[in-house]
Amino acid sequence: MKKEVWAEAFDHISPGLITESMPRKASVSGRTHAWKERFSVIQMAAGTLATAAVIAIVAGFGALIYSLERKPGTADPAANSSAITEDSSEPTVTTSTAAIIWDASEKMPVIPEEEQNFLGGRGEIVTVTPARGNAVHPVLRDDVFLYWEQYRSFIGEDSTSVLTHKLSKEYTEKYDSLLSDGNALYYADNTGLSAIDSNGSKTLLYAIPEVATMTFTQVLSLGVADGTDPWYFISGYRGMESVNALVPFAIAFQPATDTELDLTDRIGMSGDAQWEFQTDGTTLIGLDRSTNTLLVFPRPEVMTDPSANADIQRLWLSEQELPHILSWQLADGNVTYVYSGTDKTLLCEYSLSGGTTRTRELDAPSDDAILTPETLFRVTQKPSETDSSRIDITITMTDPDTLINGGEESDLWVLHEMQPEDVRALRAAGDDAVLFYPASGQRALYAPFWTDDSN
Amino acid sequence: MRDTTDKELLALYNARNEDAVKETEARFGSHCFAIAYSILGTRQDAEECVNDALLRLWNSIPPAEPDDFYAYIAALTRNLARDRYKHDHAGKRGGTAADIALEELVQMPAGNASVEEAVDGRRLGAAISAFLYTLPKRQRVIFMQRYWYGRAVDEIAADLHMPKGTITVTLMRVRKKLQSYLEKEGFM
Repeated sequence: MKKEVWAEAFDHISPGLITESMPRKASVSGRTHAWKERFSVIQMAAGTLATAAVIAIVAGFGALIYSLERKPGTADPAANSSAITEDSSEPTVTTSTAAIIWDASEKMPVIPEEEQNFLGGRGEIVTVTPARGNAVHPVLRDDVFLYWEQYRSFIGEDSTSVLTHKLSKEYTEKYDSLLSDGNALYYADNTGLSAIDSNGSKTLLYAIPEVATMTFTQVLSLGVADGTDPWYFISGYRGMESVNALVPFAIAFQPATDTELDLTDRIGMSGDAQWEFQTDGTTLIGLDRSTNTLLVFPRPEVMTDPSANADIQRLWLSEQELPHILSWQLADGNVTYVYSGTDKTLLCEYSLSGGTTRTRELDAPSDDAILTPETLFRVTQKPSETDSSRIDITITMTDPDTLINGGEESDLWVLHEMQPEDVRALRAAGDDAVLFYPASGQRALYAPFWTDDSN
Repeated sequence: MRDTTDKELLALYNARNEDAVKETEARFGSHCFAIAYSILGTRQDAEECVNDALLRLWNSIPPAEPDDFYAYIAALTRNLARDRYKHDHAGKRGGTAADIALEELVQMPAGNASVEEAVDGRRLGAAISAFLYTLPKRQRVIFMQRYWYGRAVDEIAADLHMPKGTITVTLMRVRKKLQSYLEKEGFM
């Protein structure tokens, strides 16, 4: 359809959509405020002239006022389109950490105040990379650098051990393709997959073949297997960025044996595929969020042997009528999933060996959920009793096996009177801690917990 | 200082209190300016467009009583900016941010020309709205910021704390879904 048709259609878009998508910050700088003068003219003229005439006169006069007000040499906004306006009336993103209140209910695991760790101080928290074991790896950035930090156990005598790597700015746009396994930080870009070890040394593990017409590569998923000869998995899109010509790809490779496998066709990736991969070193499992399809390569040989397609298992989760997967986790031969719909949240367990599926419907819908092999963290929210414009956020934690057998969830945190937009992310840090960081991205609350109350 | 609510703002307009315009400008002026700028591409034109919108608002309330003040003035600003753009660029090829964004939609495979001729903007707008409400909120916001607000991908990424590539891929997916939806609804 022609541009004019689209433009006219957008004139009739739902007002609710306009308000909902209002940018947090308008992004053109240097506004003047000529309306005041123009408004005065309107008022003076309003009693004597017909409205149409007023508009015509004022429009011309306003242009004159503007031309007089405009300062010579003012920067062209097109050259600085991302600058934040200096208008003091600009809506600002609320820093929510001040609103975080620890609710020390006796029923909750006790978390001493000094154990609530605030990350940040270096700039915005952009993500927290998945990490195995008792570690959390936030990635922060400021205007110049990206910081990758490793926070190992905060607990007890073996308290904080922090490694910080200051990465150059070139990494700042790649934080959606970061993965940490506790030993190295992996990142993918349009050249390939690289690793940075704890000494800051960088190694290119895999180079994506150059294709002249491919101007865009977006790696959306990374998987790294354990073991001495680990496999790495990347998937994403390649193609021309500005048009509808992005094609998916999925590649597995094992640097130790110089083995590279293009799994794109065997996985059957389509243009809408949204694959995520997990592996425990033996099983490679992928989830396509676009079709709710689970794909299982039960062992590495199935990947390397094209004739072993029959061994690739596919589970069509859509048959379960589960609309939106918040989190999923490969654990001990089974896969456990959390699904969240608009009005209910389901926790399901699937046996990859074809066993029975167990499902539990939870009382309140989740806004966010994180699964680890041992723990399900959930975030739910409800209007605050003291201020209806704000919300109370409750974070719960439960062993998924217990929960799916009818057990109850335990409140871990209650964060009072938060702004609705404060909910940004919840990350599990190992199996015994959780990290929550708000929309402001300035600081995050990290808290370990113990199932043993004697702690 | 506490912002006035929509209700309080409406009362100011109904009382013909000049503070109404001041408050409107304070609350929404910079956002309206960004909308106008994305369409017009020059600060001077955008500034004048916002001023026109404030004037239009002052003249339309009362009797108008918008339920959603921001949506009302944002739509007003966009319409005025588009009118001005069409007037200033008759017969020319555009290159503003909003133009570039709409080109992405134009590149969707063309459907039946006779169907396209008969497309009613109001119906199509309602269909797009209905489609967007079937999407997760994050996807809706990305789509609206790109095609309604005419924002650049890197601006959206910064606003939503998401990588640029994710915004690009999300837009691609939503465009494809929208195309299927509109084909099913007989618009393409």
